[in-house]
Amino acid sequence: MTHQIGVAWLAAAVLLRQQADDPSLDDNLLQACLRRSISTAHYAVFHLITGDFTALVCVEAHESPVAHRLRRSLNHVDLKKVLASLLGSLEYDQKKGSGPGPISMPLQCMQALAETFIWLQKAREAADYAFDQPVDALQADQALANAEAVISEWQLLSPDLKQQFAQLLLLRVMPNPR
Amino acid sequence: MTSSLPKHSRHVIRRRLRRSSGKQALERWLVTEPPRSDLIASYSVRTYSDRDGDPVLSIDVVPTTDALSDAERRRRLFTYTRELTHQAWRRAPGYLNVVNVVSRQPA
Repeated sequence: MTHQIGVAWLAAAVLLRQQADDPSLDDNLLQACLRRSISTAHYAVFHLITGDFTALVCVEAHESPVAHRLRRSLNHVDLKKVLASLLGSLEYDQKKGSGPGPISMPLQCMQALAETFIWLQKAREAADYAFDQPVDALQADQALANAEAVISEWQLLSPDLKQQFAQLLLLRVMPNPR
Repeated sequence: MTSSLPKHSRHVIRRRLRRSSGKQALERWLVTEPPRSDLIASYSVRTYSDRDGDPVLSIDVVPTTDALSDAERRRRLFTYTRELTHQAWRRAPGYLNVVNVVSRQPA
């Protein structure tokens, strides 16, 4: 189910990218298509991961209020912090007391996936907010290639690994114990 | 004697020093092990802070004309940028490292 959501968002990103090839577009429309394409490519992965996170930690149905709340509890910063921790940026653990703590070894095999997702986050930020910097078609192509790679690699992760990752995310979104 | 230089908190100075050392680490690495010349025509390294204030090191790469000549070569280029990203995370830990493919170097 969540895989289909990721693939559907990716298809939308591809359509937006194709639209940008229309020679009749003026600069504003071209920029809009490219920026939306990059942003949508990021969200393809974001929704895939948050969807799987919810499915793994919540026994309620996918569209239940509890599942919805859990899915919404995960934001971009949480994901970034957990992924940066996976990549050995220990500063994130030390600086923020709510970090997931030391990461166990098996999750290191998610390294390439984590690096690329962080790339997608930074690309989305530039596409959605840095209006003073024009986006070019190559950046959109890179975003599509990276999103496709992450979606494929995410599918290959074992259920145990996904479960472990979901637990790390859960620790991040839970308030610190007093 | 009082200095006319602007006063910064230790935190700001430490952050600036760290940022420049990470950039230098990446630049040194790219000089000693240049990116594949069949795929990358030129590159530059820049630093910036993301929206949460976290430090980002970006390697902006301009591909060769040949690298963009067909779908298969483009795919190879994007796969290679992931390898470069992986190296960058190892060379400059403590940063969010990204490799961006651009048509021309940012001004």
